Amino acid sequence: MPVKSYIKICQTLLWSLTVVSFLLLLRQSKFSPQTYDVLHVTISDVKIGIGFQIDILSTLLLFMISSLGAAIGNYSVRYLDGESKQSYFFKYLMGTVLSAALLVLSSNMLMFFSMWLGISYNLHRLLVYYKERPQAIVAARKKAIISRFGDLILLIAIVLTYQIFGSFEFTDIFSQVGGRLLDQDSQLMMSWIGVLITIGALTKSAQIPFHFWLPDTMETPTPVSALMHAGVINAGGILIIRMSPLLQDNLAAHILLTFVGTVSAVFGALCMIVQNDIKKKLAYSTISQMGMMMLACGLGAYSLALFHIFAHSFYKAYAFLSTGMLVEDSKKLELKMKAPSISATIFAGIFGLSTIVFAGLYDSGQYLPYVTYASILSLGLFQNFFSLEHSKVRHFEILSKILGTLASAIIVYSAIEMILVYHMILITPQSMSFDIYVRLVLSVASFAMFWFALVLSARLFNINTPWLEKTYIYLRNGGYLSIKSSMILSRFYPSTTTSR
Amino acid sequence: MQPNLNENMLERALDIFMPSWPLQNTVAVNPFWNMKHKNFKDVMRDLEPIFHESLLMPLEYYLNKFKSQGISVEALNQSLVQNRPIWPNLPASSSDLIKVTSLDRNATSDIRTIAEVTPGGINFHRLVIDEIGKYAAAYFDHNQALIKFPWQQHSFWEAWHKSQIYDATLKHAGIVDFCKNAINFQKMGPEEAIETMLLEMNIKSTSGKYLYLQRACATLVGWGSQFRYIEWQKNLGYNVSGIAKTVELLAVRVLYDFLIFKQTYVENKDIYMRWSTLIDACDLSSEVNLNDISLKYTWHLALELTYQRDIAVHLSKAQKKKYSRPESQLIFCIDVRSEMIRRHIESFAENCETIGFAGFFAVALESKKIDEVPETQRLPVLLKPAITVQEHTDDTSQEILQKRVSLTLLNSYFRLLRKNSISSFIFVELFGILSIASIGWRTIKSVYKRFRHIDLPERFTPMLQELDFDRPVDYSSNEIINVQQKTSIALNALQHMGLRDNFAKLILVVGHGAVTTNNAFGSALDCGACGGHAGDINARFIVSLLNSPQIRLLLAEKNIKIPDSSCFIAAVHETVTDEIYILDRNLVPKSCTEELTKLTSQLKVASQHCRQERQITHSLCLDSSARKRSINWSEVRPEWGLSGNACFIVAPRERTKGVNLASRSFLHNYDWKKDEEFRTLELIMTAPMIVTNWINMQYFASVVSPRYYGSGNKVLHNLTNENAVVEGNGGDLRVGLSVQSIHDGEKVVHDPLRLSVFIEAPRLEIEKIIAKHQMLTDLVVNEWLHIFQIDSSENRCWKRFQDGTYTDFLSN
Repeated sequence: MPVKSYIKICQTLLWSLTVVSFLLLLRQSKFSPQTYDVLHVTISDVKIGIGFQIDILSTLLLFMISSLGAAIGNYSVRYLDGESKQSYFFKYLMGTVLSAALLVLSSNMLMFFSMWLGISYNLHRLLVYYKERPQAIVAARKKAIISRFGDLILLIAIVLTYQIFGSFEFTDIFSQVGGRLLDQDSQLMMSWIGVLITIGALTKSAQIPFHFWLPDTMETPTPVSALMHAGVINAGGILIIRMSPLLQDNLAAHILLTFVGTVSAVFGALCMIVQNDIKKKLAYSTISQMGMMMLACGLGAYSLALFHIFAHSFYKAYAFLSTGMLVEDSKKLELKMKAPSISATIFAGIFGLSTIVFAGLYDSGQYLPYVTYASILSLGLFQNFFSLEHSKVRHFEILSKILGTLASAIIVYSAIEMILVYHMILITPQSMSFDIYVRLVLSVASFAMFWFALVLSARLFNINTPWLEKTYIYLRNGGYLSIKSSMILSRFYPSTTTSR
Repeated sequence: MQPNLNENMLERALDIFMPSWPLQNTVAVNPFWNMKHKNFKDVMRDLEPIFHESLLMPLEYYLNKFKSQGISVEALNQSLVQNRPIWPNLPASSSDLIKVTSLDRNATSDIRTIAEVTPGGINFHRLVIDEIGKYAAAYFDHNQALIKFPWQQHSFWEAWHKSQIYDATLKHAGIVDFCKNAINFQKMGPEEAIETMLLEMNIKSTSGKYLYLQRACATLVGWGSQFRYIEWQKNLGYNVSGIAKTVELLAVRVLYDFLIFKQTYVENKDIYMRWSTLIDACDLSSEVNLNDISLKYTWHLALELTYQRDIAVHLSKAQKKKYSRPESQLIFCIDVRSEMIRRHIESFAENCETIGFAGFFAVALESKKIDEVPETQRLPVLLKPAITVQEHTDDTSQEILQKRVSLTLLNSYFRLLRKNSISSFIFVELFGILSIASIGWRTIKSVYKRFRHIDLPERFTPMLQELDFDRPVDYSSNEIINVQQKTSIALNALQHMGLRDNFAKLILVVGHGAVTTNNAFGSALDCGACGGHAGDINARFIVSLLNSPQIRLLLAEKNIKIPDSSCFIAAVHETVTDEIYILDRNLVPKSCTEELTKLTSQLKVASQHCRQERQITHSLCLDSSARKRSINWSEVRPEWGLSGNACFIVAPRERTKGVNLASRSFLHNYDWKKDEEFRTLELIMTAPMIVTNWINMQYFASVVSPRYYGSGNKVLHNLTNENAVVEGNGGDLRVGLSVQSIHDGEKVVHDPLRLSVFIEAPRLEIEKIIAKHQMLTDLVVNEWLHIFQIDSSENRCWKRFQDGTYTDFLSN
């Protein structure tokens, strides 16, 4: 088939999927979650089949994936024009988008898992788009190793879950979680399942320590990066949100999510601000944003996590696809920024901490996750708004406009969150059963780490001590994980020396 | 070998580096400029072992050209005759030549760096380039990273050493004593360090050292050009931050080699011994199979001769008659893209004269928009600005401008929010969702072609009544220039344009620029004579001078009488869509509107025909709608730019009128009979001819050696420091033209020909000017370009040979 018509067919499919998913999303705003059993076979009491879970999670993300797929496909028509492998790209773009679409729609664990593998496979094909580039191969290998590890962990979790609940269907499993009292062994097993699922999710979403492959994957066309950072990387978060009823009482899993999420968010953000090229910067930004999303899951604020996935995906896709505009943008005048003052940082810390503690004690802490998340976000305002240098032109007018924009954005944001919470209650646990003090400690610890990052980035504005110099170099090298992993990999795959 | 290689060996090795301009204002650069004192053939031959690849096209390419009649048998014979004195072994006839021409032999790659020969699990070469790239990027970065490299004020050599106290990358890669050993060299200067290291690495012969250092430079051609840029701008007197020197980069490069050498000496002793003896034994020029270069060069010359014969036939016809008084005159840039539109305009607007002149219209100006940071120097990069124009700051405009500035600043707040560490989270939460609209808008915009007629594109729209043309300031003294100075600018421009009398009623000064979207290389499509900017402001400025009654009075005193009815109008040629936009239409006097309306409708038709021709020139792969190419954010081939450029014709337009030069020719109007003391000719040969040589050689280098002199695949570009690109994860900076600019996916669209300059002027005067300027002597004698003289009386083309003799080109 000629490339042009092949591409046309792919585009038509992607656009129709977008339209369908948009209609589904509209419809979903009125309906409660539903499960459709499409096709199944039963082999010795094991039900294996295809089914669709239609709820806010799946419809919203289906719309996200298909519209991004369509936009990226549209972009690649001209962008990859003249590339000999353009149809190869479209083939695996379709593969990735369809796998991701079916993943979010899955109504059972087996389907979910096979789509999980499908995404990995298709993405791997896209990562080795340029077979002749050794670094592309190395990065794809790093990713493959991490992914296979994650796949194995998730597979074990699925098998264990089946052992306890005797079903792969999400609805079957979740309905049993609350109802049936489990014996000692099963309870221990449940803890393990939760931890394994969490680890599986962390591998997929490039969270520390499974993140190092991500900044190395720039040896592939920009649309692939856009697709990966906007679509594929979210699979971990989708897994956590989907499985949240199963993780409900699992303290270990939540501690893991909170801790790893926070560390990834902080580390990624700090690495991001010292990178000199746009794609590495965006890669570290993805690691940090995914950390934020995992943190939201860890706190139990699933609606925040869902919205974050949605917003971040579009943001990151646009950021990748529009890097050419940076050259024009770089000419523009900018407000000057200095490091926030010590008193402002201390105030931000105390203010955030006291709000969190207050929220923990108020109304049995049911608003704690949201307040913690908001306090962390507000640190960003302290970082930027209060450290603007006086501009020569209409300073107060600009400040008031900034404040106005921020305020209206916050109002819109809260409204959206409210709607999402309302829908998400139906598929995620409403509250966490752990001791309020445990949760408070987790929240405070997480906030403290973000606060530390705030202080550190303020100090990095003016590097004047050996320790800061060392930190700068450490962050610039992304903690040396890229070179370390390359060294380990090179033992198994000796490189061929190529000049230049 | 050069006699004085011993003394300036280091400098000569660094000759490989030429500056490259930031993407904000890219200009084409002749990458071989520093080597112009050597013959073209010799440079191509000498660089082959350094680059490990041939710098002429593969033989297969020439054979295919021959098959498709791109090389004629006569040209081949002529080339054989010309080259036989140098290479007596060349085959006797063209048919013999074709017989012995087979596939390319692989270029030798004996001259390598330590990083390239050291075996190991990881690719040391790539690692070293990545590491140096990392530090060079950090050192020069003023835009991208929020946190600046702490040692930017130091010299690069020092800064690198300071950072090595902490950097453990090489340690992890197995070079355990890297930092410890590196420290020893900190006290030495870079030159001394290089000397010491070469000795320790057992490279003793001068030629060996030279070749090794050249190879070391070649592995970092891109970053080296960034260092060179700093030096270049400093030499022109610009205020540049950073005190980087190119030699420091080389020293750091050699240091990496040396430290790997030292660490792994025991295990790789044999390899290193062999390596150093091989390099030491290398004699300059002995490495290349002479037979090979002779064959290739013969073919290459034949390709050029074929083209030149073609052009010469056209130019050897009698001049066409000139109009007594044209209705309108259009002054275009000499750019090859102007050739096509000029041809179409002349065919549709009959009584219309078009003039080719360097696109900055002899106004060396610097301008700055009020909401932008950098000043833009709109003039050829070899010159310094003469005047500075700014935007108004009087009371009436204050309000509008400040509004604009405050909007820009407001936007920048949200950019900062996105850039900073912790605030990036709140940015994504609150504003990330807005990207859905951006993506949607961009996608829809490129899905549907926009309707045909659009107003002036934003980049040419003046913010106000434009910059402060009433009060331009002198660049160096910062004083407002007076009317006398303005008059002399106008006079200078008119004289060199050859526009002294016979003024038409409408005189359009047409600058050019390209409108593209999301294109990091956008400025590469703009006017080279304006320093990689659009020519709109220069056109506006010169028009404002020439329309001023006061200046016209003063010009009349100098015997240039512009009739009161004549009106100068600024315009801009948008090169993606080939549309011509009239600027400042409101300033055109009422008396001219009727003519202008007529002219614009003719221009519309000409544009349309030009678009159609452009669509199928070079290749069929451009998107079918030109307007879409300009607004589509995913477009990698908005236009072909200056692809195909091959000749530069300095003659009256009557010489070339009606000839289809296929958008491959730079055209400069020049009438030697009107040129007093041949000052204009001298100017043309020392300024536009150099610029065209740079453009031509940039294309040549990007085509013959895309790995070193091309910027690689746009699909993989990764913007670094917001002003340059690397390919993929990192590595060397990529300079030159991207694959997409010279290749359509199936074939190369630019034939790498050296520039053929056809000058219609007395031979003696041409020779005088060549002899007067060393730069020209180098270029001409060493065959970096071909010189032809057009004989006005006999209508013949004479080709200049290396020894300064001329022969009638078509007669043999």
